[in-house]
Amino acid sequence: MGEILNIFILAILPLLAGILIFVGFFRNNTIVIRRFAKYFNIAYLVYALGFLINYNTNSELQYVVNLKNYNILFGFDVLGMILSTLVIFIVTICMIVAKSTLINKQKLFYSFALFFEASAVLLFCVQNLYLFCLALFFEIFCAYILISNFALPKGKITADRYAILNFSCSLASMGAMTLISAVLIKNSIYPNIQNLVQVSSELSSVVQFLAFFAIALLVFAKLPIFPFHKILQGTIEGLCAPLCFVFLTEFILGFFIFIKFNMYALNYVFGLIAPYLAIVAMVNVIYFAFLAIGSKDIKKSFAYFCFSQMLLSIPSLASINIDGVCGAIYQIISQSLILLGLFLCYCFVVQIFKTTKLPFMGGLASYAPKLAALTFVLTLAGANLPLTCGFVSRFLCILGGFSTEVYTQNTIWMCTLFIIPVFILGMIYVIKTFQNIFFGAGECSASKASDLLRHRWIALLIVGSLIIILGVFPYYLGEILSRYADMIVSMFSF
Amino acid sequence: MIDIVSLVYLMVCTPLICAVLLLIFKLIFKNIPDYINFAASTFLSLCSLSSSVLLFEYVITYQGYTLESNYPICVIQNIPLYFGIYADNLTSLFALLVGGFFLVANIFSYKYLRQNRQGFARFYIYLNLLQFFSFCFFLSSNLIQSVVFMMATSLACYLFANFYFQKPHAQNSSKKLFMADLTGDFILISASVAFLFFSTLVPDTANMPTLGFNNINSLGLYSFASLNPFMFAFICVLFVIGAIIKSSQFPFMSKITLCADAPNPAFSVILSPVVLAQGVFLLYRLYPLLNLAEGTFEIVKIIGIITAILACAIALRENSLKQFCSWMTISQVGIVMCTLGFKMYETSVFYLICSGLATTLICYSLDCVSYCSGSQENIRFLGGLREKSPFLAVSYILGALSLSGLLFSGFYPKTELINNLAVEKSSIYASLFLIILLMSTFYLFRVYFRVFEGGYRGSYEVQKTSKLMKFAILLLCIPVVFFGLIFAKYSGAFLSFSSLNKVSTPDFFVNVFAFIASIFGYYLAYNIYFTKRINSLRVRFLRRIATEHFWCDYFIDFLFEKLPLFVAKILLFFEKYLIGILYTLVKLKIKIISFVKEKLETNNINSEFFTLVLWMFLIALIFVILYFKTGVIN
Repeated sequence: MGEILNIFILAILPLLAGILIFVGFFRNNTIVIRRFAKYFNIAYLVYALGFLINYNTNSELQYVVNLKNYNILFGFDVLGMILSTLVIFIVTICMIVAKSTLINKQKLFYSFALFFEASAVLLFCVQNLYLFCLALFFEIFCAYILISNFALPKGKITADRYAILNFSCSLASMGAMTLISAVLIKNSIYPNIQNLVQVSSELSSVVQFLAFFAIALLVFAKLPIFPFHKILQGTIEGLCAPLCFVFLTEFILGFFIFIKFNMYALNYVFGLIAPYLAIVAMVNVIYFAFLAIGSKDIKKSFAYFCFSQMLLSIPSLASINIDGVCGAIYQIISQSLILLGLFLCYCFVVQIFKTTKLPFMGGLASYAPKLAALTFVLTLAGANLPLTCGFVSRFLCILGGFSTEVYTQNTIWMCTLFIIPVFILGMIYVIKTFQNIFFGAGECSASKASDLLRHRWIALLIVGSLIIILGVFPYYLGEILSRYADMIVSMFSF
Repeated sequence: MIDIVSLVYLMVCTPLICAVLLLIFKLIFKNIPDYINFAASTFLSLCSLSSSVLLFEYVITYQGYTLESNYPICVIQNIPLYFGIYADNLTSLFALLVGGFFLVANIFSYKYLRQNRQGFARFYIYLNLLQFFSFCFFLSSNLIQSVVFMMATSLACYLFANFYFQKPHAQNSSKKLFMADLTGDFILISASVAFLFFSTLVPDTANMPTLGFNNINSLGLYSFASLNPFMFAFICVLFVIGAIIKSSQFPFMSKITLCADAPNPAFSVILSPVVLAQGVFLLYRLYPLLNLAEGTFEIVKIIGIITAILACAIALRENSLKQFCSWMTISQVGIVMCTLGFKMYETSVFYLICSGLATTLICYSLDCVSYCSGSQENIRFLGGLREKSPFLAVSYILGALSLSGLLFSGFYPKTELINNLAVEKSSIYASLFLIILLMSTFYLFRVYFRVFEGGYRGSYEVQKTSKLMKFAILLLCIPVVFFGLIFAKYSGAFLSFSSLNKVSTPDFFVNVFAFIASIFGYYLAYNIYFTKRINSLRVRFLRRIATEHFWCDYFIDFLFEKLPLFVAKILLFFEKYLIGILYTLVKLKIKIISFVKEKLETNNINSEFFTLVLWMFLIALIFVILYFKTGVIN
């Protein structure tokens, strides 16, 4: 089994598949391209799940590629493994949904979607700092191509801004990584992430602080805080349903980089500024939650809702204990799934009404009962009701917040108490939006409303089922996450 | 032979099985006859009731023995969460009520839904789900399970409130109802998680099941002894706030009126103690815990009495039958809360059940009135129904007499309460209670005289009452008449917490006062609305604020609509202009630079040199301005 489950193959497979499509192996036959991409991705997802299932028994999770005496190390930790599987799942769902949504330039879409996927998986598993930066730039490039070609006219304008911001922040973080590499090489240590974690305490505090803030800049461009959010918000507004993997992967990557570099590797700085980070994140969470309620554009308000839900993981991480870290990771996983489902539903709704303005929507439940039922389930998940994965994550976040042992315990407690209004504001947003779209006066009678197509129905059903499964059986995931969280928390001493 | 634990699980799961079966039938056979839905649901509801009777008998027979069973269903971070049952005397009593009320609702709904011809199967599915959630809540073995099923009940209430989802009003009110309910639930879940964490800090509690009700007393004592008292009190206050919201108490009084768009039989179930008083039941469960935090019961007491008085005042002038029912029920739950605030545990339970039975009987009688008169809800267009449906008049009178404490079941808890208040020497509360009693009797008989006496003022020809509906109401009349007497006689056997009770010896004068208050209420209603010898007292200001529901509607509206929108608008303004300006400045700068560069390149001038000169010129300009304006540069 260990020979089959090879990280290098995992990282390289979508790249090869993308190249096959891009070079015209399928002779521009759109149906074949679409089916190949979809089935390839399903098989790829199964392969990635193999890593997750065999994690306990198989220790072959590192792979070294030797290129002219230059060793490139690939390695998976639990978080990388889970998040890469999540990204692959999201891309697969998007490919299922893309069938009737994207009509033109299918070759470009599927090839770059696979390139994007490959770059994201590479980011999760590569240990070499140089290759990490390279993958980062490649990921931004793919996202830029996808947004500029396939976003709605509104979103195409933001593609340039998105690319500029991300490139600038990536350059800053690259500078930080170069600095770290220089210091490591000076001490005759090979510059990769594993070595960085081991010797991070020996780095001077100035270097650590510089690196921390430079990398945090990149994190907050991907997992946006005020005022970086404006660009990603514009991007989300312009995206159509099959492109939702772009922004969801951005969130996941932002979180991964934060936990991997800022929290794990540069733990000294994180331990010092954790309470301040928690306060900043909590202020942002509440700010975005209010904006989500106030906005009348469905996609704009959804973007704010995404930010508020995703940023909730930061205060949870700042509590620096096993429950908090597990809660934060669970929050990212569960919210990614919930936001994926909700975004798809909202995109279908926008397609039906041909407008993004909420006041012009209503009464869809009579015309599209399947869509209404599935959106209702996702809305309940968005409101974090029990038996959905959102509930588990909130449970852990609150538990982690209360059991904190950081030096300013009261600050974290106060932040934890603020989760209650966030709960309520999030719930107000999802319920209001659901009611506005599906009930009330029948705005959609004029527009020939139709229910979900079969492949969309299947995609949403899969997402909804996964949300419920993770809500009812959180034990398996929780168990492997707690070991990872224990490893991270052990880096801190109180 | 099936054992009692399996029987209880079967009892709990029967409504769920029924709901699933009905759903499958609905999906497979698109148009199944109405009577099949009705028969299946009623039969299974009857089975549940029989099981609950057996459970009650078992618990009463083995006095002092608590039936308990736990299944770990989910483990979150090594914290096992259980689904289980915990059947003591109180639980079995409420299980019996759940079984009874839902059987009545099943029987009553058939004809009502036949008249409306809409969502027959959907209604029975929702009803069975609500019954399942209620069973799970009352029989839950731990705090987390209780709160989870409270949330599920909120969901079922929302589904009922949104039953006629085409109506914009139903849409709006169901939304607010769900928001308010979930707010209470979130507060409760946060308090539960906080308590879970703080209770596990104490080493002695490490081996105890997760927040089980069987050891809530020990958990509370350990936590109280070893934790920060402020934090402990804070958690208790959170529990109380959650219960206040869930039980629709001041200032969330008008929450339950938002359900008014639900079908009438469902609305009556929601108003019954098995749904509305879930918050109060949670306080019963947490009684040992709250007892440790000084002051929490004071909050309960004050909120309860305020709710009771204000809801009574609103009910005094309410003309809509549904609204009247809801305010009457809220007022009674307010009294129950106030009684619990005085730590009169047994009296509170007794009052809750007796008043609950009476209010449900009144609700069903008035539902039947509405059914007979072509969905007429306004009492101004009703009247003289005693002659046309004497059965309804009698059933209403039974409920009214019981609720006003003059006769039947309501008499016993009222006497007990007023005596206990006299013993406590809380004369203010006793007098307030007497005022509430007067007002209650007044509004109950006001509605009676307006609906059942005089001449008929409506245009719709009054229908005959259906036999099924009559049967359902008859089923309720029996406990309304006899329950109080039985409970008063065997109260020790009914409640395991009887040691917490404070039953005093009856005080003759206090009872006479209570009786006079009730009779005076009746006398006023009789003379104002029947003989019309006295003119109705019209205090304009009071009438206006009662019409406004003491701004409780506005409060909910403000909390869940206006306040978030107001803050959001300010933040949106901030976002639009401040951030907008920031981004525009950056964009403008890029534009200017590119414009200058373009110009320079077309004129073949060394651009870097020119940019440098431009910057120097700009800096020189700033210096010059500073010099002339401030004179600081020498």
